[in-house]
Amino acid sequence: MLAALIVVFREVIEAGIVVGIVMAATRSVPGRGQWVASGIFGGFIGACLVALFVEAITEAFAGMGQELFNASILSIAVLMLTWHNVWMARHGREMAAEMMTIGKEVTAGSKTLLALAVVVGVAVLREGSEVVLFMYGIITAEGSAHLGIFGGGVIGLLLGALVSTLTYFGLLKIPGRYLFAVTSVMIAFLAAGMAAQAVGFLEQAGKLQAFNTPVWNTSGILSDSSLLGKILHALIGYIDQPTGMQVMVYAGVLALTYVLMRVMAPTPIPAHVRR
Amino acid sequence: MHQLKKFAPAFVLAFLLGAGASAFAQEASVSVTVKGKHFVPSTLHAPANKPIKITVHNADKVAAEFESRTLRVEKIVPAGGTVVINVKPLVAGNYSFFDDFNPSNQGVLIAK
Repeated sequence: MLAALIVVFREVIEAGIVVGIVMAATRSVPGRGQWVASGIFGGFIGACLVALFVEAITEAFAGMGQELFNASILSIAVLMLTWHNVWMARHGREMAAEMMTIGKEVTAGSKTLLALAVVVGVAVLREGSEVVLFMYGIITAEGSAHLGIFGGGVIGLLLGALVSTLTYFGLLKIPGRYLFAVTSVMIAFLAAGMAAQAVGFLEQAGKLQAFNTPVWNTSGILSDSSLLGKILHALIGYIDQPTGMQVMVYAGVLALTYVLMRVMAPTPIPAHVRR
Repeated sequence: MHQLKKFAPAFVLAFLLGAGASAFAQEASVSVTVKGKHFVPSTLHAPANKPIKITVHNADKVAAEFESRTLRVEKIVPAGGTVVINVKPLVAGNYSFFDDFNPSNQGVLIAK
């Protein structure tokens, strides 16, 4: 039972953290609950479909279908996260100003809610498909001991939800005026980490050969399969043996996000108008 | 931008070297089966400094996930399915792997 709990929990940590960050990043946007919920639901349906068609996916692209599928959906998530950050850099201040002056609910933020719902969906889909396969294996196997294992899996899932909740309320402790800045940085790191992961899958598939040897190895200090390593992996994309290409792409996404956010930011509002 | 330009030749060179190496190096093959929740055999032998093709067959009725931190691989092996994993040339040493859906099931690839 404990083994199953750990297997499932390890899979859902990442999705849990993503959901928590997205909820915090959209705190003042009305209707975000439904969007995030539909992201989770869509991701779950997708996870079931992936689990159902795992053989077909595996055999696609000369046996490299899993890798290319993972790399593709991760890339979509990276695009969505970056787009959210850039859009918010452009319109976030307007939104805040609108809320301050008119005092009415802002609907502008709902534009990037779709993007963030997709990100949540991708996170749930990726980890969820493994959980579905794992749990399905337990259900179909015979014997009464499996009930306990199944229970362990369910508790693992609940712990994942707890991670979401903790991430969310942890972030809400940050004062309102800094929250946007903090979640932007977190989302940028989330995107960079996912991009590095996508590179890892392309390297595994043999589609990306340049700079594909690890440039350092910190697995002795902090393994990325340990609990702390997993959490850092989800938060900032920590990898204990990244390849040169992974490091470059990671840094590239961070740099590009920074530049785009700076370029797209509206000219500063005079100090006396700001709150 | 300036940095990028500086890296470009290195990029191209690495790409060519990578492509050249994989075209000329002889590939070694090893295979392993997941049976009764165990890797059979649990110890694989392969030559070092050569690309390796690992074929993983899952004879069980539940899916497995072949994972190795050191080999940089994580791949689902469907129930009754077979997957191929291409590993680039390895430095001599031991490379452990496990089933992520059943972490007590472990094995090792010895490259020398």
